[in-house]
Amino acid sequence: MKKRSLAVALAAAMSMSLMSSVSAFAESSDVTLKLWVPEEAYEDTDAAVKAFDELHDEFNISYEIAILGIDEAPAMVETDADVAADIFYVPSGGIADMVSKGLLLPLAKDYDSIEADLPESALTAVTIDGLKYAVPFSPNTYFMYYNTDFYSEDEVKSLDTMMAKDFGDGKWNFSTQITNSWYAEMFFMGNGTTLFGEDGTDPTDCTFNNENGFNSGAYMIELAQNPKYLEDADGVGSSAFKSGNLGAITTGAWSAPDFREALGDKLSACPIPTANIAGNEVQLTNFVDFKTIAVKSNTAYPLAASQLAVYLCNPENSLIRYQNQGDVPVLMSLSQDPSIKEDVVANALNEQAALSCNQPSISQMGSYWDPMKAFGDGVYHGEITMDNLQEQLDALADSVTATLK
Amino acid sequence: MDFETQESSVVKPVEYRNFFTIFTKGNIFSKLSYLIFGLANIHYGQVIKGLIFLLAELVYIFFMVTAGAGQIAQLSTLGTHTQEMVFNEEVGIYEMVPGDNSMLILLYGVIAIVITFAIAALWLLTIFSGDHARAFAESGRHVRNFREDVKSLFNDKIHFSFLAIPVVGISVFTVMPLLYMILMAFTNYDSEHQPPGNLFHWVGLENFKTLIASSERLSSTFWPVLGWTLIWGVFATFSCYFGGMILAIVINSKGIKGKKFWRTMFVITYAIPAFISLRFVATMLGERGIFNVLIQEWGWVESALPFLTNTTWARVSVIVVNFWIGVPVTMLMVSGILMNIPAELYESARIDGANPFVTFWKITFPYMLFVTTPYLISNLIGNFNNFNAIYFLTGGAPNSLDYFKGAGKTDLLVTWLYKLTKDSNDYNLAATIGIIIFVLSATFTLITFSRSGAVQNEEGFQ
Amino acid sequence: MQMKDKVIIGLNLKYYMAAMVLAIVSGVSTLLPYASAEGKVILLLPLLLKLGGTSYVAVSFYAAAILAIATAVFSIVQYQKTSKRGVFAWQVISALNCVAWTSLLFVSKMVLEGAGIYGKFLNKNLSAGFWLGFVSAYLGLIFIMRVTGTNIGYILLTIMSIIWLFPILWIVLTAFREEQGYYVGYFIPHGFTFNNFVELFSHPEVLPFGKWWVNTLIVSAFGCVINTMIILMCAFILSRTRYPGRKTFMNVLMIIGMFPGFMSLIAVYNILKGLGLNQSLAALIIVGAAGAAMGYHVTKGFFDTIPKALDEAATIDGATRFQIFTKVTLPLSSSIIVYIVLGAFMGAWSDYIFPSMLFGDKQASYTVAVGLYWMTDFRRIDSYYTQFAAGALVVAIPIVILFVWLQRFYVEGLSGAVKG
Repeated sequence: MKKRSLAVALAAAMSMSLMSSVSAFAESSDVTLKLWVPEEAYEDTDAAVKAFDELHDEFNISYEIAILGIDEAPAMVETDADVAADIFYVPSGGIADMVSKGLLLPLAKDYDSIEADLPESALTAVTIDGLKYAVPFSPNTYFMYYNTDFYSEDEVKSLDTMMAKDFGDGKWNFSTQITNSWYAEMFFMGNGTTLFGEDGTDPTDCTFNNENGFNSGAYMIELAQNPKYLEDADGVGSSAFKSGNLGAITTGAWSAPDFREALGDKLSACPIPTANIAGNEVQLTNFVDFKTIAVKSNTAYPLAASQLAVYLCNPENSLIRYQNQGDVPVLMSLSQDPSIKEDVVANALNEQAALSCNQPSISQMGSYWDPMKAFGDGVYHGEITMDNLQEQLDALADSVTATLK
Repeated sequence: MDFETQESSVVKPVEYRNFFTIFTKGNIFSKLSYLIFGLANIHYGQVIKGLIFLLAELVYIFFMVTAGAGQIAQLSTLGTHTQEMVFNEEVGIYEMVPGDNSMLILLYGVIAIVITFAIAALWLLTIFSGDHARAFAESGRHVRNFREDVKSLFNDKIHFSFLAIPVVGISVFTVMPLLYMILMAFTNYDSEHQPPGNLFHWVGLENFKTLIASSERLSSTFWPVLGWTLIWGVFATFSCYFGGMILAIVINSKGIKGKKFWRTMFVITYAIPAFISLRFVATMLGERGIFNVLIQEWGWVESALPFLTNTTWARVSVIVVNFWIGVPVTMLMVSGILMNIPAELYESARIDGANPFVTFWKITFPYMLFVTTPYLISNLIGNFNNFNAIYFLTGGAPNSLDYFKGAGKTDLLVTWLYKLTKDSNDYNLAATIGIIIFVLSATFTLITFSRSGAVQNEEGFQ
Repeated sequence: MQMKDKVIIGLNLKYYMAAMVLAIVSGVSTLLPYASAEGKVILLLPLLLKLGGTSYVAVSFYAAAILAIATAVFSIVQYQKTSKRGVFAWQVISALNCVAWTSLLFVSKMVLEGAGIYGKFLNKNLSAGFWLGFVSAYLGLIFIMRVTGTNIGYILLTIMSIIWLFPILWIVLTAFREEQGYYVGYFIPHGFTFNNFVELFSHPEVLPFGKWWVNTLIVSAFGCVINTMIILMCAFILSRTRYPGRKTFMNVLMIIGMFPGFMSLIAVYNILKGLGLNQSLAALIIVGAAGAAMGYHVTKGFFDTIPKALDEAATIDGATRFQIFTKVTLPLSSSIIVYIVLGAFMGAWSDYIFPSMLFGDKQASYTVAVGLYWMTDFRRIDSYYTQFAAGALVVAIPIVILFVWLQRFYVEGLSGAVKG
């Protein structure tokens, strides 16, 4: 309870500072804003914008909120930036591309109010050439849910321990998405291979085809062929997990409400496990991405929009978003909030985010997804075998670093 | 250029002039009408018509002066100022300083050019219209007044009124966008040069070279995709053609009762919008889709079949599913044609004791081929561009590491083109592929024309 | 041979012998090995005793055995005392026999495993007895149909209809399925409900399906009227009048039609935006109408078949071109008009790519195609799958009704297509 009051105090302090900072503007100006938020965030956003308007006497805000999924926003802004929302949710992975197209406004106003509270990785993910283009509010990565009927807390630490158990016909041990490039990198990144260099900024580097990469590929092939492994394509894994036929599954915080409803107390969560790849026990490592709020570059009201974007990600609103939509806050001050501290899912996500590496934010990342998916498809459907693995990994590395010129 | 139909009653021979003699032989009004639209019309009594022409000219000049000329001029560079973000110290925020938007420059330039061409066409029209008025007036005939001109739009000049909407509509929503697209193939409008943040510029034939002749990944994607597009086109077209024909012949053969009922059975597939049924079939064909569940339950196979995930399976699957969707249409069309085959042909064959198969090979099939060749070729072209069947069923999957990012083993040129614009924003490559698709279609159409020309001469098919 | 001398009107007895032999083969096949797997060989009749009614699908086994024997017996009885009614009854039995043997292809695994006779059974384990029974049932039916002079096409039509309707049936079953979710491991739903349809219309703020439906109806209604008029006018000019530049115009249309249109959608969008029409239903109607003339071929082909003499006669009577169009050509064109109207109507219901780009975030303007596709997005598909099926039915039903009703015109119209 103490920590929560801290958060509230922080929020209050921040609002005070907002008020003082804008006192220079005596009269209120009319501001028209449009926001894009996912379906579930509609009501909270509505309330938050009203509160923002209250706080800021200098603005007289009329606004419109339209429903749009977070990953639909980049394409939609690009189609027509004039009718696009002023403020929208966007995954940090899409920021570099949007910046290169000149669609995002760098944010400065009020940003210092939460900057110190943001972890380094989150700031890196939204910063390009020293300018911050979005406000992160929640880490977005997958971790592992498991059914306590299948596994104990110790067993879920190693994938090989998990796969070694036998639960009989019609039951699976583990499910992930080898055929999805957002999941499949975990076998490589943990095993000492790099994508776009150590810091994710070198567009010519991809070492998935070195010896370690070969061992990772071999591990994936073996896993895919294991009858106790279930490929989570089109929600197959989630259904099996909910019906109690699957021991563990990798997915994100968004699955938590469904799983809780289906499994109740049997549900637990933890970071993705280690795996024994070619004799070494390595921690599988995935990408972490952040959910952020950004402002379009051609907004007619850059001042109000930048301030509102920051306001929507302040501790108070982050906490509300966590309580109502399950988005675990990225703000460090909130991680000690009792409601978050006791949440196994939030804990698993936070632990996972600490283990994960930042998803590279250079625009060459656009060339990663399709080849990696093709590789995963090949592995899962048996077209990539030990015989042609090296050759296919070479093709993968070549394809990921390929340019038009 | 003859815009009037001939009239037979003669007072004095009507003497028309050609484009040059209108100027050389004409009086000052005819001469000036090259510069001032409709002057000759006004002089010879067609005041309203002339004023309308003049108004059009003035509007055009206004447009060019205020916007058009600048837009065309900008086409040469496609913009020079890049958008910038500037920090406003006073308020403490960044603000955008808009730059040139190459995409809009290209589009507006094209629009201005198309408008200029339209005005040029109008210019020719006014010159001949003026000469027409002069010729009628000089030969002592009645020069049509405005009311009569309007009336003629419903009679001898009906093509002007009836085609006005299509011509304007197609110019604005098809020709302009197409020109824009074609020009894009000669720029570097790719993922690295995206407006409004960046400018793009002209690169000449660079894209064609990269796509067709470079040894890079790109051309090693292009040729296999082109190959599969051709294979798909041929299989998809002919499987549906023969399937639909056989089905129609069976339904329409003597002794089948409830023809309407049977037709309805198949037409239901056609009546459900294709993308819905394709989405459903795609889920049915998944690894845990209902087909795989059932064939395992029925004991036909031991484990799931990779209908849409293995290259060969997926290619066969899309052709089979397309067969399912396409046969009903062909069936309906062939049913219509079958009704037109002269009954005497069958009667005489029956008297000669021909069995159904002989009748089919000797009468039905040749007749059908004769009538449907143009349809068949246009269908073939349609299938090369059959976006729906592929995109909604497999989305081009399975992806392959052999291909340039994003392209899959069932991708046709047209779906690859779509992905290039939608997913990777390489508009220049997509436009280049669009032009190549055009060349492909044009080639097949030329073949059709020579074929159907020969067919039309055989009017006496018996 | 006794048969040769018999003549019964309406029966073609020269095929009788073949039919009878096949019927007997079919009967005999019940005595041959039915399946062999795991080193066990089993006959059909002893198998029946073992099944002992394990499940309702086992009925197929009894039916196949009984019908195979029945058809053999019937053929012999009829051989002695042939009557028209008797042969038709035999045909019915024979047809049922085919159904029974075919169903064995689908249920053998379930029944044999269910009865504990085999562990892992596959249809490739079926033996000579089954295949002989299966083939002779069909061949027998064909010959009996020859005898009765029934068109063999019925067999093909029945099989094809089942294949063609199978996916449709799945959509229907999904629409009425009580259990939600994307993948279910069974064909017949465990529970039926009307709720998916209710849900579709009861959340207008998140999923305004009713609004989408009305939008589409508006677009298709306007599209029908405007496009039909434009196509008719354009085809009339190109078919019934001659003027300079006519051929050029047709060639230009053809060349334009050969470019894939996708590319230029962004340009179309920007032009519409310049006209202040982006994100509106009117834009959809206007763009549809603007391109309508490109589809003139079919109608022109149809108009070409109307005798020129009619026009000439009307001209002599003092009719203008416009009057010829309205008073002579149109009254003769009801089937082609229905064809165009149906096409325009369906186009609005199934067009996806352009509307999806046009409307962007403006969900309230979506057409059903965009809306339904929105429901199949991977984030939503699992929760909306049954509603998606229900929505598909709501869209398809009006079209199916129109089609069934206007089928004749459509067939006539399409046959005009190839004359163009």
